[in-house]
Amino acid sequence: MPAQFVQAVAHVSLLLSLRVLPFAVYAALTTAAWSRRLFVVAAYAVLPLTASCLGRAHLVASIAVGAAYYAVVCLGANRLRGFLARGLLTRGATFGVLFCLFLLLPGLVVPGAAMAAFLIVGWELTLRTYSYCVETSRRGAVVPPLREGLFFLLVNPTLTYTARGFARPVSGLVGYLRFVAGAVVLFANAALFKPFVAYVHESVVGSGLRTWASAMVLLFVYGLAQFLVLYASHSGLASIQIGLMRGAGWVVPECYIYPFLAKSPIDFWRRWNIYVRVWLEAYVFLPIARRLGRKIRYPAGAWGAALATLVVSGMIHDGYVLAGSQILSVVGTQFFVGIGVLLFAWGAAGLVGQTIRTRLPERAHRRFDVAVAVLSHVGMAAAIVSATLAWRPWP
Amino acid sequence: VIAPGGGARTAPAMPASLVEVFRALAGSMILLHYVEHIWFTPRLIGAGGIWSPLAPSSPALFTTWAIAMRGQGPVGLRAFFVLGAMLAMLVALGVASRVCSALLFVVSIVTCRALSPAVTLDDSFAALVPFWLTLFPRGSTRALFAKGAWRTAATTRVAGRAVAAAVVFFLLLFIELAQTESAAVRLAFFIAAAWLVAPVGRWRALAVAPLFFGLWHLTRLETMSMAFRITVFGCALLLVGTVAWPARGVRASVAPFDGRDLVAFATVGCLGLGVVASLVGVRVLAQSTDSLLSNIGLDSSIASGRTAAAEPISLAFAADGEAGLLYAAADSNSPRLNILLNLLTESTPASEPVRKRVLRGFVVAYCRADRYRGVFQPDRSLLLRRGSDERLLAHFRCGRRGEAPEFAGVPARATRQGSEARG
Repeated sequence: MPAQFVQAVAHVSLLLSLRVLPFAVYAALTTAAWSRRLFVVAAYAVLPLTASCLGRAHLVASIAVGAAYYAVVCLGANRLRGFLARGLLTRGATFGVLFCLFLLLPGLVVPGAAMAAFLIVGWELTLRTYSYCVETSRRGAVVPPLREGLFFLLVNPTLTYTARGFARPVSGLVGYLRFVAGAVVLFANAALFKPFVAYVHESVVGSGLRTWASAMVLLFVYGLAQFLVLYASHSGLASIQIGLMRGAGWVVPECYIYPFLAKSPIDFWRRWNIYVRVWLEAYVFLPIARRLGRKIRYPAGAWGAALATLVVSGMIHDGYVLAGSQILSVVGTQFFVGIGVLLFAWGAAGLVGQTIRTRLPERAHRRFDVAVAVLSHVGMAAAIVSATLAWRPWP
Repeated sequence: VIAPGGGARTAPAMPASLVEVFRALAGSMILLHYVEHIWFTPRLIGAGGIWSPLAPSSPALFTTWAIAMRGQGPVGLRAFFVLGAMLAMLVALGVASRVCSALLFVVSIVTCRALSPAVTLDDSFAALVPFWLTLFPRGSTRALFAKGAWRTAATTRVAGRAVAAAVVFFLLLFIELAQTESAAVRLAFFIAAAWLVAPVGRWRALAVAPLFFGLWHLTRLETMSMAFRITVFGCALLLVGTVAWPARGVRASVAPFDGRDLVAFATVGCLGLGVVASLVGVRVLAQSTDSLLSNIGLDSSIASGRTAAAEPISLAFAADGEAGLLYAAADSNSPRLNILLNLLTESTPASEPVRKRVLRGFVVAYCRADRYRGVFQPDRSLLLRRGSDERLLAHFRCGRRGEAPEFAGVPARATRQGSEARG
């Protein structure tokens, strides 16, 4: 068995050990029959056992400890919500408290292993718990029972409480099929796509970039392959979570809607990682846009709010790195500011295009539209590749 | 009128005038500190300084900026320090105090990183104090001199959580700084800190007594320079301000706990966690808290000494004939040690302020660093007391120009080419 295959199995089993754990616990707690409970536990146990046998035992142990810690912290979410509702805490402080509890403290206590094993869940829990606290602390809001709250915090993959999906008695078969599909994508990503990216890199390094054109082509191929790897890992994981939620009788929104079909950067932003986008819209963009809207005219206020949202998004990514590896970096913020510049440039180019189109004779409109469509597709591909290379630079 | 820091619902917590006095004192102190920098620091760092602008450093944010700063000539560096002095003046005057404090914090951190091999407590406190001023309630120094200000001085209050956190933070630092002192001094600081946070109401004023006992001892140290003294004075001032707090005052405050309060408490918590972890021997936790504080700029020279006992020491020496000073290619493992050893062990023609500054930096490095135990065995009191410069130099002087000194069997590798090759 090739080492590459073993590595892929170990990686996927470790990832699934972390991600499937809440669903397994939920299923084991809500199932009435003991035989079914045992089946769920045994089926889940295959994942950490596989990871442990393939040399990831210490990370499996870290996941167990981290999950237990997060469950205990989530038990206090309603108390935090109470502080927020009574005005003892501001929203900023609430976010800070959650950041400290879910990210900073585990990162300090288990440096290195926390980031490798479970800190990504802490990052999601920070956003999710913040949303839960804010939404349930509003005046007149209904406070859910602890069980429902914990289900949203620990099991539901969405990040915004108001967009958490709904319960619907559906057949779980479709969900489980989607789970299998997601797992296959994750495995293919680890076993095929990632080695392919490494192969491209090696071949480029080995052959050397003799001409400018060959360098650009290879860089484009490399960037595209990196994007595929990134998308497959995110999309596969989302499929697993959405499928398991369906299996549990819940319908949640999609997380990725074919982002490679996006026609513009803004369209891409709407299709990529929708859970995070909805969270940012609800708790960063809209409050800032409302505040700026009172002072600055449209569209400057909206653009300012959008830029602030991107900066906050970058800071959240940098905060994750700070908590996990104790390194203060602004790479994420720089990246998202660059994305903001790209959005602005695309919007400005669109305005210029519209102006030119209105000045052209009507018979030339068709050709102009075709040219714009071709240009926008090429530009979009270039934008995706450049953004991917900026996010995951050439090693 | 001094604006309350915690919003309209601020409960009385801290006399606003004391906070203003502290800000004015701290701003003046940092202003003097930067004036001192303008005079001689460009000879220490920078393109024409005594160590290489290409010295390898960590890729942390402020360090990157500091490396860029080292590449500047004397004019660029002086302009940078003038900027720091202007910001300090604005802080002292209370003009846009939070923004200026934040900018001053960044300037001070970059200066600290650029000076890292010979950073002193002055530099560290010049960075720490603006950090805390950023979290303090907003105010203006002019309010102190406004009509009738002294009548309302005792009654105008601001939210005091960040102030309390600052006091605890500095007391924790004093506990660390008193590591080389007797147990009585450390106990004094511990009692002061415990008394400050205990729910003892007006009896809290008694915390001043052990605090001043500890400070009296620390002021005898060579490293108790101007910045440190004034910070200590400000700390005492703020401690006195806590006399009027009600019992359990911090928790009883009606003002909502905001983001600044959280940053203040998280910082104190992180330092406290690190101190406790280093005391009980949890090295991993001590290192990670140390690394976190250091990376956000709080503060490498003070916090970094309590871990890294196993850091390998390799010495690299070279002579820089052009500058007439010993040139040290900083080793990524222990740059401070390399450079300071070079400057201390030779009869360098460096001017007195430069030499004195480097000496102080060495004292700080030595005091903080358990990592150097087993390598150096001098009497610590020799290092720390006033007037010990010459004795210290005599203790370490052991070679001629260009020769590597030897300390208790530490191998000295040393050619300029060798160090450059490694760099």
